[in-house]
Order: sequence, then C-alpha cells, then structure tokens
Amino acid sequence: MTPEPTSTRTPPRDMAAEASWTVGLDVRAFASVEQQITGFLDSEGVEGRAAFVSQMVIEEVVRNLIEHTPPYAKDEEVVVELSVTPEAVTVAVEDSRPPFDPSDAPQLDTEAPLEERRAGGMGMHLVRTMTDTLSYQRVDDRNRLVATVART
Amino acid sequence: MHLDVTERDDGIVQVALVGRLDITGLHEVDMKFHGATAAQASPSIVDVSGLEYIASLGMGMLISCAQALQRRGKPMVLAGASGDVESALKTAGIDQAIPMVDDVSAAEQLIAQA
Repeated sequence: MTPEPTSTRTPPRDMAAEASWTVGLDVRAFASVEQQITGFLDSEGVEGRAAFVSQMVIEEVVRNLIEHTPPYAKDEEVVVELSVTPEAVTVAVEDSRPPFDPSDAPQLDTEAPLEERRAGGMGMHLVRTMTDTLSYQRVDDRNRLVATVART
Repeated sequence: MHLDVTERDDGIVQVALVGRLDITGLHEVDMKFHGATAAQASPSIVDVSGLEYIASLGMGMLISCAQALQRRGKPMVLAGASGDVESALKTAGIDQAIPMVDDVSAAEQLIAQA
C-alpha cells in the first residue's frame, strides 16, 4: 500500500506549502514515497536544480538510514518534511536511529581514478556539497537534518 | 526509466539511459545495464543525454560496470550529460573516473584513440 503524505498544506500566496511523510525503513516503502515527493514538488512548481537537489537529499539520507539499520530495527520510521516557498525548498529528515551527523561521514576523494573508486560512499558528499545550507541536531534522542536549496 | 541498446557493427556497445535513475529506476535497469555493458566486455558508450535524475545509487552502478570493463581492458565513456545530471556527476568526481564527453560521436572518437 502506498503511504499517503501524513499532512499537506496549501498556503496563501507567498507562504510556505508543506507536506510530510512518515515511512518505514524499507526500500519498497520509500520508493513509493519518493514518487509522491516528486509529485508534490511538481505540483508546487519546483523545477530545475531545486527539485533535483531536494529529491537527491531525501533519497541519499533515507537510503543511508535504510542501509545502516539492522533487521531488528526495521520497524522504526523516518519522517520526511518538505516546505516550499518562492525562494527555497527546505527538506527535513528526522529519525530515531543512533546519532549521525552527515558532516562526520568520510570525505570522498573525487580525484581518485576508476580502479580506486567504490560504488558507494558518494551520497553524503553529494548532500554536503549540493545543498545551500545543511544543519544537524540531536533533539530528544532523534536525529534531525535540515537542508535548504535555493530556487533561483 | 528504461534502457535502450543500439546495435552496432564496430564492436562498441551503445546504451542509452532514459528517465529517472532513482531507487525505482535503478531496480528497473540495473541488471539489464550490467548485462549490456560489464557482461559484454566490449568498449561501451553510455548515452546519458536522456537522463533526468541520478543519485549516488545510479552513479555506483556506472562505477561498478566501468570497473568490470576496465579489468578486461575495455573503456566506458559517458556521453551527453547536461544540466543537473552533469553537475551531480561532476560533484561526485565521476568525470575523474569515467571519461565524460559531449555526445556519442565524441565518445566514438575517444574509444578509437584508446
């Protein structure tokens, strides 16, 4: 079953349009939500780099969570929030897994030749590099990552 | 997301990735892409001009297939990346690992020189 957004709000002009999804730490569940996120950004007229990077941030962060969650914790959930204003898209991802600040993830050697590259390890580099702002907080035993991407 | 393989008679494999290479898209083309490139052990041109979106999972697919080809002495060349896709690929340093050129014609020339 495809999870519907937990909430959506269409605002008056110049205020933020918001939506959020609560999804299990499972690739299939997230894949269906990912399509809804694309649809929400489309419906709000978010296009180009802002749409691309917003979706990338969500995909990289949630997929990283899924990959690093042991089977016994797979029933935990992640909350994805999107807020769209005329100026920017704000993405927030919140989970109850152990503390993880993307700033602490290993640096990617983007100069490495093909034979030294790994198929993984690029996601957090993309998140850190392609967003306009990125902040991490540990609040009430939960990770909360907030990224902004300018629409201009 | 789909993958188009162009039949050629010069020993080069030409594959076009078209659509969104997100998690759903990757599952749709991953095995076919490996079968069309790494498993063929032929020089490969990957036309990404029709790619609308790619994240690290899709980049990982490109890296793993390019490495498999490299181990057998065959190159992979990415052709036609533009806009946000090009920016993301370069941000991840993919262009330092796999040659990126403007179009399929330039990829053919690069492979001919190899």
